[in-house]
Amino acid sequence: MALVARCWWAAALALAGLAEAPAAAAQAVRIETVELLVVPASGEFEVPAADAAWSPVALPEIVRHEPGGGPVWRWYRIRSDASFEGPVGLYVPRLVGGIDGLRYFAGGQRLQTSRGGYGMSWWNRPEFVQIPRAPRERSIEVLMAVRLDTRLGMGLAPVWVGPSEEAATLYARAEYARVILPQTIALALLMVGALAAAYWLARPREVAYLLFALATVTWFVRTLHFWVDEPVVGEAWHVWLHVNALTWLMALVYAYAFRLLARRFGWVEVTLLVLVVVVAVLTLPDAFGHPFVVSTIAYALQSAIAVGVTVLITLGALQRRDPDVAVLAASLWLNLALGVHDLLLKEMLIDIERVYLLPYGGVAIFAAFLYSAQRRFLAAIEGIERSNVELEARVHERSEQLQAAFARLRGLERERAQAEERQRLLREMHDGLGSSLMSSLALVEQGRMDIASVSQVLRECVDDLKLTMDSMEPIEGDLATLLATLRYRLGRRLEGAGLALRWEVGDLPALPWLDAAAALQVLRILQEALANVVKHAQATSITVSTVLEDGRVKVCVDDDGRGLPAASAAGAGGRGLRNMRRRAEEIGAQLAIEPRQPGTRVALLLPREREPRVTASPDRAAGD
Amino acid sequence: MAATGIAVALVEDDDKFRLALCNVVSAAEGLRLLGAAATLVEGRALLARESPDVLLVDLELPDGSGLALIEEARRQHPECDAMVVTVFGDERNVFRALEAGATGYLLKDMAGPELADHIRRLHAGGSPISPVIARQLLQRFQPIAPVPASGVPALSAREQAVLELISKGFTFDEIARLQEVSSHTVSTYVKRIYAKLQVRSKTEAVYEATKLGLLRT
Repeated sequence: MALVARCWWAAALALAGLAEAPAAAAQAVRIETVELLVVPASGEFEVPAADAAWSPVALPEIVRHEPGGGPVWRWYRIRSDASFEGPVGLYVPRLVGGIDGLRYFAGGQRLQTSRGGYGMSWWNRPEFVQIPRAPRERSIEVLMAVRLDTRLGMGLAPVWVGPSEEAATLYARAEYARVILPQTIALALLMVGALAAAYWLARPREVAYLLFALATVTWFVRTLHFWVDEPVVGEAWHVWLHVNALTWLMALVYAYAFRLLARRFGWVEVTLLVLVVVVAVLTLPDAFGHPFVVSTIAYALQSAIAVGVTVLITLGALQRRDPDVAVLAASLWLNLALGVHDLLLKEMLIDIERVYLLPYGGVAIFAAFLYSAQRRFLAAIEGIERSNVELEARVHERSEQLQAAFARLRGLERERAQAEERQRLLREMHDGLGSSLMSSLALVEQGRMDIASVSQVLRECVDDLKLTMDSMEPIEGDLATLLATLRYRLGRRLEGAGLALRWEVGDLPALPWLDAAAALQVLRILQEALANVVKHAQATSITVSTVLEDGRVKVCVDDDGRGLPAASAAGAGGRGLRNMRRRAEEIGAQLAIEPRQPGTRVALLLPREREPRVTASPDRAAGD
Repeated sequence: MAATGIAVALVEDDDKFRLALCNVVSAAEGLRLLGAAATLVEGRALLARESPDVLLVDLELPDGSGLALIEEARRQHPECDAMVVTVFGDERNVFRALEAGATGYLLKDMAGPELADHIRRLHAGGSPISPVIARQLLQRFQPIAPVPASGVPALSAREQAVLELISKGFTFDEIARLQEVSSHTVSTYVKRIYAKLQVRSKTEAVYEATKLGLLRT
């Protein structure tokens, strides 16, 4: 718990951009004045004498570079008269510059230090040195030997001396804020990068996510020095990687921003590529100068271009009023400011006790990306919801249109059916009732028709009418009931004519096509057949039977009369037979007339299923 | 005059036809006319006053439906046979009348003797039926649920068979031979089926009304 609390405290300090505050270590002493002795490094290394020409120097001390200077040992004598109980430690918050050697001595002995690693990693790392003391000794004296390349310059911030625990705590806080926190940020950013990479793998067309993923990797490379104490690829290349990773990072983040803006900036992208190449070449080990110098030039170049590109991205964000890019632009400005701050710090143009801030800038980029991803996610969900609503509305609208269309179709169908029905009834009236009444009327007017004949004609007319009405009963394709109706109407007439009627109607399958029109045709055909028997056959009995034959329903009307003339059976027939055949044809049925011994069979073969009927043409109705 | 013969009351708004009916009934042997009414109100008065054996009712009366009179006759005179007078081809109305309690129907275009015969047969316990009505009855009595609700009358196997044969066009005589019963028995089957239809319709109406909350059980 204590450690966590301490870490957070240190993190808060670091993020506020403050130097480590001494408040928590009241007993530790900040040393702002030390003594200095500069010895050329060409000679043999030895600890200088106590009474050598030491001169006081104030910390922080900034040593500017001297062109043409050689390497020197700069000896710092750090003294404190404060009396500390127990073990004592030295905390060196910051020692930066062209340093390639560092040793500590106390009481003539070389001391162990917390610092490992290599010179170029020292720029950021604090240091802790445990100081051995003689039991009764009160005052403290530590010698610090810094080997400096004077062409590069250096800086030393005030150091702290205090009880070992105190000094170690100060050191640990600084270590946490400057090293562990940036590590954590780099790691978190790498995770977000993995997420972006996963997005990209799922949708390879969205290159922006790949760019962002690569950016997080370069961020990690950039912050590699937080992770490793020893250079991975040799010190020179390690430094090269450190400097160049920042250029790549810039190029990738800007490319990501351009994708987010959905715009291409051809020449800017070329400029970034040129920057990448120039920095890469400029910082090649042992090519154009000491890394400490060329990296400054590289950072200055990067900063200059970063300003231009960030302005461009900001303008794009404002123009498009795109919050994603706006947030990203803000994070870029922040990182740019942090970068410039760090460059100034590196060049010791500002208080060297300050903390390098760019490693924390990752949090802002991290946040900008998450903001964009979250907005995209929400927009996608809302889009789905909206499109669901729209889809529903469209489906609703379409189904209404369909219903309207169906209603129209139904209306048309009804009109067609009505027209057809009217046509059918007109034809029936014209052919049956009409012609019977007209011809009878003519005969009556000429006085050539007796009462019995008139009565007969009228009776037939009533039968006709009844059958027409019967055909309209809804019987759902039940042929048996249709035949029953025929018998119900005409049975008595047949018996009246002295004919015995045998009824052999069995179970029949429903005929789906048997609508009112078809029913009337069936009734008429059988009525005609029965009438023929009554009028011409001189029969004594009629048998009406049904049978299923080859998947068809066969209705037979058999009489035991004298039979038809051969010509009629062959198909020529009289008008009545012709009509029967026409009607049968109209409902897709077949009419067969077969001689019996004695008598005749009229067989009507009805199909079980029928193709939809073609609308009868009007001229047909007027035909006969 | 001694009250012999079948007492007939009739309600018909068509003057000519009412007169014709009156003549037929009056003239027919074994029938006697109790009275004739032209409206629903008069018909009710007639039913209140007299108690006919056979009631002839036209469904479309100027002041209401003859169905009400049929129901009233069933209530007031359970022994009375109500007969609906209808034009040819009006099976739908006939069926409604049967549901209301009519036990027969006669067509307006029947010839006089045929008509009297019809009335006599009805009174003797037989009922006329057409194949189309037989078919409708079969459909009406088709069990909807596998287990019919209690109190709702169903057709007996014999009644079912009779209706099926009627719907296929067989005459009472033929059915009687096929079923090995007398022709008269077949005719009484029909009357019984009509009675069941009425009960069934009434039960269903009550059931529907209960379901709708119009009646409390």
